[in-house]
Amino acid sequence: MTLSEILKQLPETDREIQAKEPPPQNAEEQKRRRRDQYPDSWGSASKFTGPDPALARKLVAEVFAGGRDRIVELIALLDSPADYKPEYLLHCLALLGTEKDQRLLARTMSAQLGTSQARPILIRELQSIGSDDAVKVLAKYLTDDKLCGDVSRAITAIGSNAAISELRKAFPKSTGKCRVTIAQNLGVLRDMKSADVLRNALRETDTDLRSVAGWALARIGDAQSADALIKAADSAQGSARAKATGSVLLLAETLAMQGKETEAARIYNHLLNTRTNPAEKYIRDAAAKHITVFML
Amino acid sequence: MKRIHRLTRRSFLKETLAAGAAISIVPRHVLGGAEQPPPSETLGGALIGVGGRGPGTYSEATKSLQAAGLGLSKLAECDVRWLDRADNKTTYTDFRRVLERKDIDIIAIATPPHWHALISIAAMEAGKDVLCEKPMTRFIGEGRAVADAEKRYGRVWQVGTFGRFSSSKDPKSILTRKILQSGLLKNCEAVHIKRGNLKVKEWSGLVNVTPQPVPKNLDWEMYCGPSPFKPYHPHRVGGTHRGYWDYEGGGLSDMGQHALDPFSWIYGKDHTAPVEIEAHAPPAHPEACGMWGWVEMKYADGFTLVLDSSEWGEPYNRKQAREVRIEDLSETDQKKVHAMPDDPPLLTFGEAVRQRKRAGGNADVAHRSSTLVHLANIAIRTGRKIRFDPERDQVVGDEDTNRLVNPPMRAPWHL
Repeated sequence: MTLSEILKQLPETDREIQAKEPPPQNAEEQKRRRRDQYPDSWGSASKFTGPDPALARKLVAEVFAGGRDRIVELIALLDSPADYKPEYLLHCLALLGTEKDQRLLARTMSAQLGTSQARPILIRELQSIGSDDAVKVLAKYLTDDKLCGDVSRAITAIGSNAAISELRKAFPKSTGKCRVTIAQNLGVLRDMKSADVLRNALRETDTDLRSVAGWALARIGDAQSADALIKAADSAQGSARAKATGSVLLLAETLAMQGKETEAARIYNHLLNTRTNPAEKYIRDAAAKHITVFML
Repeated sequence: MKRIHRLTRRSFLKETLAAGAAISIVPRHVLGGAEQPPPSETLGGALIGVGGRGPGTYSEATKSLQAAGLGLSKLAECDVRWLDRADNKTTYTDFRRVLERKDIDIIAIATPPHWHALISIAAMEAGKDVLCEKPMTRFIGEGRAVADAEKRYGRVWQVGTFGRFSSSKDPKSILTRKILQSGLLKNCEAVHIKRGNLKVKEWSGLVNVTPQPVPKNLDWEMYCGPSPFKPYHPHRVGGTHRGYWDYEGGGLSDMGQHALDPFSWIYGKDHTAPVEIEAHAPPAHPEACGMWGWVEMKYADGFTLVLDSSEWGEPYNRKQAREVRIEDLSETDQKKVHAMPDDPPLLTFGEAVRQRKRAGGNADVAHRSSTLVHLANIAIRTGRKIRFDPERDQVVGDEDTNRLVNPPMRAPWHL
């Protein structure tokens, strides 16, 4: 079966089916058709239904039977999408392939990433099934303004040591929103080896970066950053103050979980002593409540 | 000083919850005093996300507080579709500006669900109490984060579905709950089947659309928020957002928690989750929620929960529905169950705010009922039989599937 024959077997959307119907003769018929298709008044657009699972498996097996070349052919179709089917079939390959098939698919998508016009689609699929092979290719785009968000999330979802290492390597070279997204994901993955660079990031001018770096350090449980986080929270105003104080509380919690009760208690005591404004009573209460755990 | 090495965050926060109860934390608006208005006074409220369910959600908060003897005055509304009319006094587009206001105590959230967790957490960080529209979250990891924040800040959080309150007053439901909570029922063979009314086709997404220009009044960057940034299409906004994995999870996410939240209470599943989940569905689209037939979820105690959409494929026929029966127990055990004391009444949102106690639909229990929806959707999206660890909130033995449990957010938004 050729690729176009495989694609033809995927179901049409309701919109495609509708387009083949003769136009309604009058407003009444138009209303009736709409009512029949959408019992509720919501959702006045086409709907998607995939094929029966058995047929889908058969079609997926047909694609994989064509090996790497057929996958490359399918990926090329994504460059100028005529309809949803190539994108959907690629996703079906990711969902339904055997482990061996999925490895082939991930390797092929990684190899095509450099030349494909549909990189966001390939990155999305690699987020689902990629592994260390994909990480190396994805990491090339960690400093690309347009793609760094997508690849950073894909690498973080993979989450292996290789993934952490690539994020760590890319951080010093990154700028702007790429720098923010990498810092955040180093925190998501709790990379203790990044504590130094994240601490330095607390002194940069980008407010988003400072906030995200503070949160990342709190999540990592970096005791050395306690004073810097406290200072940032004490001097912040408005929603930034609530956010920064949240990072301080998170750090104390993480330290407590790591068995560093003295450091945690110092943070809680600081909040108890400084959040004296009635509007921040809930923070004082929270600190009191948490420190009570140590005393129980 | 007490050693607490190797505590998990969940157990640490649970301990602080107990500590909080011991020291009677009371917020300014309930304490009264020179700077603090007495309980009889009206609280300040804000609605974030005004379309669709917004007014209804706010009205629920108002009614609940009124029933508890507290007034609620709406001081602000916020919506990302108000770039052309926001004055940053009573109308806003950025929820963070609303949360900065010290005169606002109560936040009602009715945005699309991809914002529920983040706004809930930010509101509690800012010292507010929250009534949040269902579904609680967009994915499993968010629910745990909201529950952590609820305990960390000692705030009241209630999900905007209230079926568990009526179930908790129904004698049959109370008996069922007691049977399951007693632990006397060995080899539970009960099968609960929820058929239909899950709006699957109604809330399916589009798969072949042409991006359109962003309307001038819409802050599209903010709308996408923690979700992947996508080209604008009107179907992704305003109710039909439900058809996209980026923002919700189809009709199952929209309607599921209504049915599954009372289910969790009745069948004593508020502190656990299914361990095996299997779906019958066509392969899902990566962006648009689509059709599915049924999902079977088994708990560790043998209990089976089935969601049958009645909208695609053959109806579920693996097992027959079978209720939990008192007759399944020996006469001695039946007496023990009948002798069990009733649970304390669930506190409404208003009562919880007034008494500074946890609401009946608090974040921990809502996290469990929303997890049912998410697990079903993960099984639908992957087509795989899933094994789940309810303690760790993780898929077991399938790393790829586990990536849907807590997917990374678009920076700078994070849990």
